[in-house]
Amino acid sequence: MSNLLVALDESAAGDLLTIGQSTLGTLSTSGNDSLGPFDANWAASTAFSGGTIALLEPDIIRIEDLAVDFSASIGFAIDLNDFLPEFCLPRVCVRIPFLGRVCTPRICIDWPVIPIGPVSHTGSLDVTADFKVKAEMDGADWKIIVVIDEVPELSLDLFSTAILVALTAAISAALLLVPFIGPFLALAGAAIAATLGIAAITGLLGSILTPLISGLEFEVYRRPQIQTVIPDAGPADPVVNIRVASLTSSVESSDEDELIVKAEIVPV
Amino acid sequence: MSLTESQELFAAIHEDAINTFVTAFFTARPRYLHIGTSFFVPSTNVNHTQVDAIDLGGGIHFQILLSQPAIDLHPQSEDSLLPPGPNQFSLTTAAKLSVLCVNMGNDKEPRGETKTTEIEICATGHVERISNKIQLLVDEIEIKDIKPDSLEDIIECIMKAVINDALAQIQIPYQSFYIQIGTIIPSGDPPFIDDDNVTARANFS
Repeated sequence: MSNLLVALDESAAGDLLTIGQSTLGTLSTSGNDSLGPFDANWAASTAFSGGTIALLEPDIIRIEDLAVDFSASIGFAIDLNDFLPEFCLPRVCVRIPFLGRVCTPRICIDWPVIPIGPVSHTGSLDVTADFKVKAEMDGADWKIIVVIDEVPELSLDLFSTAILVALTAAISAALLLVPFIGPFLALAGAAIAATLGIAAITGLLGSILTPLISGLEFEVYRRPQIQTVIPDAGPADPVVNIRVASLTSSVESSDEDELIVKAEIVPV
Repeated sequence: MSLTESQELFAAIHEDAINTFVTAFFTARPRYLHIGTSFFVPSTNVNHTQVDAIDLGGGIHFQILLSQPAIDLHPQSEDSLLPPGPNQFSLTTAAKLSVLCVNMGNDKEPRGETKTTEIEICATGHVERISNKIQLLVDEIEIKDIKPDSLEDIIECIMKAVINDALAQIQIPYQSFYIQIGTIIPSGDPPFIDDDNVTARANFS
């Protein structure tokens, strides 16, 4: 049963959220996933800032216009043999006096596998989402976390377009370095570009960013279960501690919406 | 009506929590409840505080042992000789008073017989904010069954000073009322006692 109640208005709850965003810092991850027909390697990082708080009963913190600043780099390899016809120098025979008929062998060129990128892109998404506020023990600490409840749909097409442009440029640059490709340059460029659409890039970007957001959790409070009330002041005046035996959090509304934290404190 | 009103933070500390703070303090530092002169307390330590003897007749040695005080915030929850009024708390404790009836030996060391009595003490007081801390202060004290009344008044006067001295050591930081949620600046309003709670408002720094 609680014996101590703390209420925070939306402004103070916003201050706590700012602390939570700062504590979380930058999230980084990497992996590989399909990008059209290619197996793309990617790395991404996200940081969260800003947003306007709305408190909703019974335990929801709605964050509007949360800035999700992200950086993503995508790279993959293209096996040109998948896009270009076989290129062979035909067998040529000549008749040489005294030697007879002499032929060169048929020489076929294996098109190389060319690396593309990684192409990097940074952007910022404005996200509005509902978070649940929860208090729980973590080892010897109490913590209050704000955990995303429902992942919003991310508008990524704008970024996908920019990434597609960058990837197309990277592909063109890589193709120019391939020997003997001259006659096939336009063909290769067109064939590869046809496999990379906005949808494919949006799909990849979504699969990169969604896990970072779906597990989003801001830690807005962490303190030891045993808290010092009055510090040590010498051998005859040792530290005075209390123990937070329970902690709960919720949202209550009256003429103002408030974040309510209830604690039960007991002697150590 | 919102709890925070025009401030950012509000805390309501139930009398159980106040008693937790008080118990925690006197459990860690019982010496503020146990005072005595050198005959009873050879030196100050965590359990006892040594005070000077009254400098008369070779020294009047005494000891005062207070029991753990219990705090009851308005409205009254426990029977008391002095029920707490609005914005008040009541405090109950017991005191064991001992005095050494001195026979000075040739070595000038006090020796003699210890006379002891026990009294029940009821008090009322209020809460004050001192900087960013909250402190309990006793305003009135009542000890029953002492005659004549003028003697009772004198004993009450002494015990009020003793209890206020002990309570003065318990300055509970606002930070602790807010279970250390951020750094707190108390609002200009004084803490208030009502409905078995001390309430206090504050803002983040």
